[in-house]
Amino acid sequence: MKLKGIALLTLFYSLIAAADSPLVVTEPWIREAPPGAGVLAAYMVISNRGTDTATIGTIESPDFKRIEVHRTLVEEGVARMVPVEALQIAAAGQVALEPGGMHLMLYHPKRPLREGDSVTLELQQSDAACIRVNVPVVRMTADDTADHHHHHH
Amino acid sequence: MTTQRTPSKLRLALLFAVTTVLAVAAGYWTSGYLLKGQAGLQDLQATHFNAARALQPFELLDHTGKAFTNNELRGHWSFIFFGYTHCPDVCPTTLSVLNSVATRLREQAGQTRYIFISVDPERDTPDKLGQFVSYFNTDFIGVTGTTEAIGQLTRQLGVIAARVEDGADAENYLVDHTASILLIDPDGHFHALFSPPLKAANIVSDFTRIAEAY
Ligand SMILES: [Cu+2]
Repeated sequence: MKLKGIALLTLFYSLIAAADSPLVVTEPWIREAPPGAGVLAAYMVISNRGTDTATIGTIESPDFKRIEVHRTLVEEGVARMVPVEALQIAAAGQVALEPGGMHLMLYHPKRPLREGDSVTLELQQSDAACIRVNVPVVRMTADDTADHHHHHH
Repeated sequence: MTTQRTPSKLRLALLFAVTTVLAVAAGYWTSGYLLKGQAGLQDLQATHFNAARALQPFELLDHTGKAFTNNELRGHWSFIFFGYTHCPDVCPTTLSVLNSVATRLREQAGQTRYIFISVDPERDTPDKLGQFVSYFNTDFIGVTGTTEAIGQLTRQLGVIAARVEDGADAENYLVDHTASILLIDPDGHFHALFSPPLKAANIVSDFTRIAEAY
């Protein structure tokens, strides 16, 4: 219930923030880091309502020193993360950033982030507007809850 | 001559065919007999070894600073995952799955343990590992040790761990590592392997059948 509330609230914010861009971000969340973790991950669904492929070049946040787009690959049983240079969303398509798949790597948080906090992420679309997304920090420690979180696309 | 040779050839061929059928049937019967205890384990999602593998002696440290050796893997089932605390996607996701497994198997809490072994001992001190695993479940055990001791265990389990340097950010290097959960039986033998995509419900149903056949 709580997650749904946060997701809806964030959806509202995202729609306003993206008024001048064909991109719409829904269900954004940052995984609350366990104590000691210096790197966090963010997930979201990015939809492109435009008629051209959209490319996100850089992502920045006042709360992190560096942000990268990664893809987790499992090959021959081994998991590794590879950087995605440019995140592309096809016209009328969508890209899901989700656990075990594509995600944002948030390096060097500038303040401690706990569940209930929220962070602004700025997605810079190449040759277009910057999309500002308000992302809640969510504690996720069971896969059943994660399933629930992803069921209401 | 030819008319006589042909029937004898035929007889030989027949004999051969009958023997083959009998041998195959006997093979089926024997394997069926041997696999009786593992009935119904053919369609598991997990990789179940027909012969569990004994582990060579190893010596690591748990997150409280106590020795963690082969002894700690005996007398109960152990779910083991290899990872590192600076891993923001795969490791928290897998520990969340294991927490859900533990919740579903709470009736058997005495017979199951959940162990997170670091493949990054340089950054993962026992204290740090303790905080990390407890965040998911206070019963989880964090294990670390020297690079040599960890390597000695990963090699015999076929677990892979490879450090990837980040030139721009030396303190935030990544470590590629095996994404599967390993199952050790109460004899301390490597018994089965759960591979991604990892779902708590699937792991629990496979584990229940494996434990019943044990
Ligand atoms: Cu990553």
